[in-house]
Amino acid sequence: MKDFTEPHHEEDIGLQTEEMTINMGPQHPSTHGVLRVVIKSDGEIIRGAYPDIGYLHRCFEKHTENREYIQGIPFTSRMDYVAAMSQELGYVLAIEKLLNLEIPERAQAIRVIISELQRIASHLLSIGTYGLDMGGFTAFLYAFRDREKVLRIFEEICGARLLYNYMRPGGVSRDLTPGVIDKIKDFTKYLKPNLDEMNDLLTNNSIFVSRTAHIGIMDVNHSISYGLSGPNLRGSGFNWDLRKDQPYCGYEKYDFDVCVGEGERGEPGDCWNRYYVRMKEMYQSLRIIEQACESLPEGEHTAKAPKSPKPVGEIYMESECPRGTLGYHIVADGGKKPWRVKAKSPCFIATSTIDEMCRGMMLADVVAFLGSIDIVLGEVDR
Amino acid sequence: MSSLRQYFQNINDGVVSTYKGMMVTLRAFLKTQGFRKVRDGYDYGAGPITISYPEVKDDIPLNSRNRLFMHQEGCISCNQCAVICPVECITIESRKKTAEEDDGSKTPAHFGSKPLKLKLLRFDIDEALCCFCGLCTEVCPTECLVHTPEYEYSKFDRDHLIYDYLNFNDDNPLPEG
Amino acid sequence: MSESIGRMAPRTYVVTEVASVPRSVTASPKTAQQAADALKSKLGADVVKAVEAEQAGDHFILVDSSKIVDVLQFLRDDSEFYCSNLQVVSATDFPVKAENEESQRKAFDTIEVMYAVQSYAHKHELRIKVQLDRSAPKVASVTSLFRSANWYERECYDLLGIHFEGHPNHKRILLPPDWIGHPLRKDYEFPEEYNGMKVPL
Repeated sequence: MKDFTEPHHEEDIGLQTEEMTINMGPQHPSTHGVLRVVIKSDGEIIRGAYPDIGYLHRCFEKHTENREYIQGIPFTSRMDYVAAMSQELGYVLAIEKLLNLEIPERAQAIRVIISELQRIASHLLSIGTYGLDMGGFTAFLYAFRDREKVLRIFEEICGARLLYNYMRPGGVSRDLTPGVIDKIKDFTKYLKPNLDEMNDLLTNNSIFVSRTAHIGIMDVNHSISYGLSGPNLRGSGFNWDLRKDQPYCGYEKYDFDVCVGEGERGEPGDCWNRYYVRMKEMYQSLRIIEQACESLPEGEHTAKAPKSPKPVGEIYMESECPRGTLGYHIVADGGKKPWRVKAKSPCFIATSTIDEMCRGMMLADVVAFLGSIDIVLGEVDR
Repeated sequence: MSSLRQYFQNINDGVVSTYKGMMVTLRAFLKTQGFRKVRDGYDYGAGPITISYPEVKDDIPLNSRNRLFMHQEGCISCNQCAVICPVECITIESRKKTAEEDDGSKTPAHFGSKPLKLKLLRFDIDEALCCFCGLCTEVCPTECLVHTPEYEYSKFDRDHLIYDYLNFNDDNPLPEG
Repeated sequence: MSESIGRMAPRTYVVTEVASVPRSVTASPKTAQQAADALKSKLGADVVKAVEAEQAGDHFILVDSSKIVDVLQFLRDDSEFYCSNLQVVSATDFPVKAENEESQRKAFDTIEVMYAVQSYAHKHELRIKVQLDRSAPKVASVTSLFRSANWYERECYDLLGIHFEGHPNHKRILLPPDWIGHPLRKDYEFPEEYNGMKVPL
């Protein structure tokens, strides 16, 4: 087999070849947002891929410095708009740690149910669009049909479908009604056969496997040096999940497995294993939701927290959002408005790996790699 | 394994996985016709999932956060909504009532019977700026500012989306209640 | 699937130092005070300036800004700490105390850079801070130790104007390359227009 990386000078006598600079521009159907990648390619093989971000920079950090803590919660939703509940939860957890609040058990259980529902919705979108990028339109529509059910449940709970403003320091803003809990239990029964169908459509499909297996392999030490987290890190075979290793919100009460890429197809660290980790995580999220709905305790849905909190101190707190570990660094000076809020977004770091990982790939594999690291540009640019 | 065996294994993988995928779509088609709608003990219902909007509209929950509406008779001009709004889309102007205007009137009973000490001159909400977070409805003490389930109010000009709630006049009819 | 069809051409990339993560280590989390003591004994007493522990929230180790590379290398490679994950590099601007200021902040006339490192083996997290001169903030880059520092430091340069010495690609990342000013500074003034377009406020 010829080694495609070496230029074949002896056959190209008289043919002038040079590297092309191609712009995979900010408007592109497969870049999952406004991402510009400047690709230097020798024919089809890529010699360098330089991501250029900042097209969706909306000055989140400067906005939060001029607004009170509660007013900042809608801004955090809008960073990763696909999984907005997890963004709000991270912010609110950091504020609660600074205020030393004790959260009631019902509020914690409600937060767990909402987070896992949000994880399912986010993974459905990522798997659906990944199937779409690889050419399978059916998976995309089925994923959105199931995601629609989750969005309707959220609309009954808090009134909004995509950007919720539901979490508050101390708990949640509204309680769950018994009708909604029945709908959530019904949803878990609805989704399992549909997840098996999505598995049939994508996971072992020979076209999907040959496009994603052995592509974009990240070994564990490189992933850790790059600071990857979440399904991107677990797809390389490393077992680290904040819900098990640094539990928050009462996750230690629930029984679930951490999904790690084991290499049933391809090898651990390639695009197929990152995809399969997300697929398996949805099954585990259903398990957690069933356990939480069975054992939902009675009580208050929020602790007694001031309407306008005035914390003092400095903290960096992480939580597990569907795309990795989301961290908030809050510098609080005792006033109504924070002095500084910095959001550490997992997608920012995942985008920085494009440069090194895409060298030596073919042009079509860049699309496969971008889909597997599951970036949302709202979070990359904030 | 030998490459000939690998060759036939590849063909087998391709055929089997394509067959499984096709069966999934065939089952979805049969569901729209009413057959095979129960899978693993769950009844998915016959018929297609798509609804033909705008002739058929979906029911949205009553607490859905769409366009705002302010009941004029319940506003006590406390300014809390304008202060809490993260994007500053509410404009309120009010002044103290003069001696002859001050007749001890109160807001109606379903708005809390609070005394009306200020005269409201202007209450505008720029619905194009509004981010539908619901913070203003949470802090309103008389609950006169509410989110309605109204979502079909597009206009051709952005300035037409600045609603003056003291002279409310919109082409779209308001839902009851 | 067929190995020869699926496998692509081998990747070529520039190899820099990547620490290996040990798997078989019994986890023993350390506190900030223990880390500060270990740093003092290994790198000299003047490396650690303070351990801020009296406030709500995390405990921070304030370190001499000229020794940050040695500190992070020690924390990454030493068997007691194994802090192989750089979680975030976050910078904050603290100007001189204003007249009517009522805040309870403790830092004045400095820019602070906070490095949060985490150990997967020992399951502890440490927070290292350096304080830089506000008029000309510069510090050595830690890109040779952690690859994630590359983009984090670019963002700090872009939004706050900190100069990282030895950074391989010291350019703006979020804002356009011809933007003037560093927006997250407290004395930043919004420009009236940019390239002929009015800047909306």
